[in-house]
Amino acid sequence: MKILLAEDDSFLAEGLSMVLRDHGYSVDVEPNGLNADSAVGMNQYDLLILDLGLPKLDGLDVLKRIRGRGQTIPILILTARDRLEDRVKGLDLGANDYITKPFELPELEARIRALIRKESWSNHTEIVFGTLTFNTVSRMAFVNGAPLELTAREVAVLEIFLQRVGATIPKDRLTDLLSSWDEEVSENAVGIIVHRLRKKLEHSELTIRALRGLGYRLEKVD
Amino acid sequence: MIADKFANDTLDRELLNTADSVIARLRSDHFKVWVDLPPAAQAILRHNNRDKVYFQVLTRDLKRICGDAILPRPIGPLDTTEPKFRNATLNGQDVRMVRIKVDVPNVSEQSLLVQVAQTLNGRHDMTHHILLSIVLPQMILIILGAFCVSFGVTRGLKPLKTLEGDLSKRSQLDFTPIESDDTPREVRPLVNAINDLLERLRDDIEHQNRFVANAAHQFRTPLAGLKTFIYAAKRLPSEEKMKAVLERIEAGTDRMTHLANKLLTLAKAEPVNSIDRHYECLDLNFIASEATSEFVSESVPRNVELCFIGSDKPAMIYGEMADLTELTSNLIENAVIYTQEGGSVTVRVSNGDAVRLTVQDNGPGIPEEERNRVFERFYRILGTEAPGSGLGLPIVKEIAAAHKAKVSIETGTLGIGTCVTVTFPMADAKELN
Repeated sequence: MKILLAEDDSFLAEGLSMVLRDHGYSVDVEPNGLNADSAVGMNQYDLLILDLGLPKLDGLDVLKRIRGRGQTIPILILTARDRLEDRVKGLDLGANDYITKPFELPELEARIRALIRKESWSNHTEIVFGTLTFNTVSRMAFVNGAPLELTAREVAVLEIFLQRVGATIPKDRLTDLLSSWDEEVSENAVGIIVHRLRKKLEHSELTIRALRGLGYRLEKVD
Repeated sequence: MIADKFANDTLDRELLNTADSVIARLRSDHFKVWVDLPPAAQAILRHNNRDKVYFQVLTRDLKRICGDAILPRPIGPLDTTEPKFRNATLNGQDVRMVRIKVDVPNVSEQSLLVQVAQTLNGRHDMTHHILLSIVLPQMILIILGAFCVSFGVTRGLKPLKTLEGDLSKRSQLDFTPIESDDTPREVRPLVNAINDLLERLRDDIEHQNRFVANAAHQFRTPLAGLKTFIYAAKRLPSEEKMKAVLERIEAGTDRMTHLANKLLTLAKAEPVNSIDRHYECLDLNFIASEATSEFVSESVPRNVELCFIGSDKPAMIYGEMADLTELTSNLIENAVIYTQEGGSVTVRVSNGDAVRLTVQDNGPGIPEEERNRVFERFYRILGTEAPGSGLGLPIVKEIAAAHKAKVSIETGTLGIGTCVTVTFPMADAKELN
């Protein structure tokens, strides 16, 4: 899962992105509103965490622009403004959730999971594909009931495959997803991660097929 | 004295006239001088309702030619040509006398002295008359005038008195402008100046409040940052001591958060901001029971028993929901955090002669001398652990004032603990509709 964090306070941005990356999310930080808006427009994010007091373009204007373009990305407003009018306004302009600073981390994480669950998993807490079961809340994968040991990157890749089962995922999408842990990930590295995942799925009657020029696809082995 | 002088001047002239009448009667031939004054003429001369008139004519050597003998002898220089007036006594009575020297024609080197005396009754009467008819009305006029002026000034200054009364009745928190429609023209500049001052004061206070609110607001983002780092640190593998330290750091951060929130609440609760509030008729039972249940989760780990007792009939008051909730929560919070383990807190709403909210605990209590001071911002009773923000009661005070309610602190039942009572004015019929 890839998250865009639009927050101008670098102290908070640093702490929050660290915590989220620990949880296996890929996080990009954008401190100004104008750039945050273009980033959402140009890239594929699974969630936008939006602070309201952004420079260059206020958070609510960013919100309006994104929804104005018809983009359905889930948006969580994170702000110090806690009056009722602010909450109502934010939600009515198109945000999906509203949390005020300072917040309890467990609650923020749960809300993030909830938003992603709705958007990417159609509210399913569990995705089943063949012998593979993926718990969208704990983000753990099981094959025939036995848990799979996956690295954060492998989980991220698996999630993309399971979001639209049967779809072919272009390579650059994977590259894009994986390169945020503050380091660029080369195409070769993507190939290696996919290879390792494929190996771990050996006994699941599932495999990941490479389609030259098109990308990768998770499919059942006949 | 003035009346006397007028009377004297007038009557002296009359005296002089009488003397002149006598002089007009002087006759002389080459040998002697006599006064042609037959009894009838004399009678006319002496005719006076009030006074006795005496006259005499003397030679220069003071030999009487005619007239009354009993007049006192002339005194002083005798050769003056001017009439000489003096006061004297005649027959035991006070009289006024005039003496004139007359040169007799035809008789050389002979001059005569004519003296006329008259008692003073007429004078006294005239003096009295003057006093009564002139001075007395004048005095009455003056007194009447004084009354009129006093009345007029009082009437004129009445608007100022009303103004003074209105201003002194205002609470110190009221900054609305003074009505200036019925003030007289002369006073209007003063009223305008006062209204200007009030407006500037109000602006100043609003400005200050906004600053405090902004400052409190600004704390939120750094605090959020701190919390995320502490959270991350707690999840790193570490030994027990480190975990304990991190717990304390987190507690400190939470206290700061609490304080910033309270500061914001206090800045917004000042009655000067009360124009933006939405007032309605509310049942205090509802607000108090909700607020109490919010604190159950906090009271359980501290082993403090928390209960709510409502009134039998609805306790309707006119107020603002969020503010009243804040007020109640602050009182309950204080009771819960300052009461020892095993203690109890009772929240009660009563509707007898007035609607009352009481929060009672059996904690350490508040000493009498501190009971006023605890409403001061950041005031702490020495010796208490002070986990609170120091702003709970000041906020209660501001919200109560905005609702025209009274807050009082007493000792709890059985002489232990604290009982805080907030007494609200009844919602009147107009507000109930």
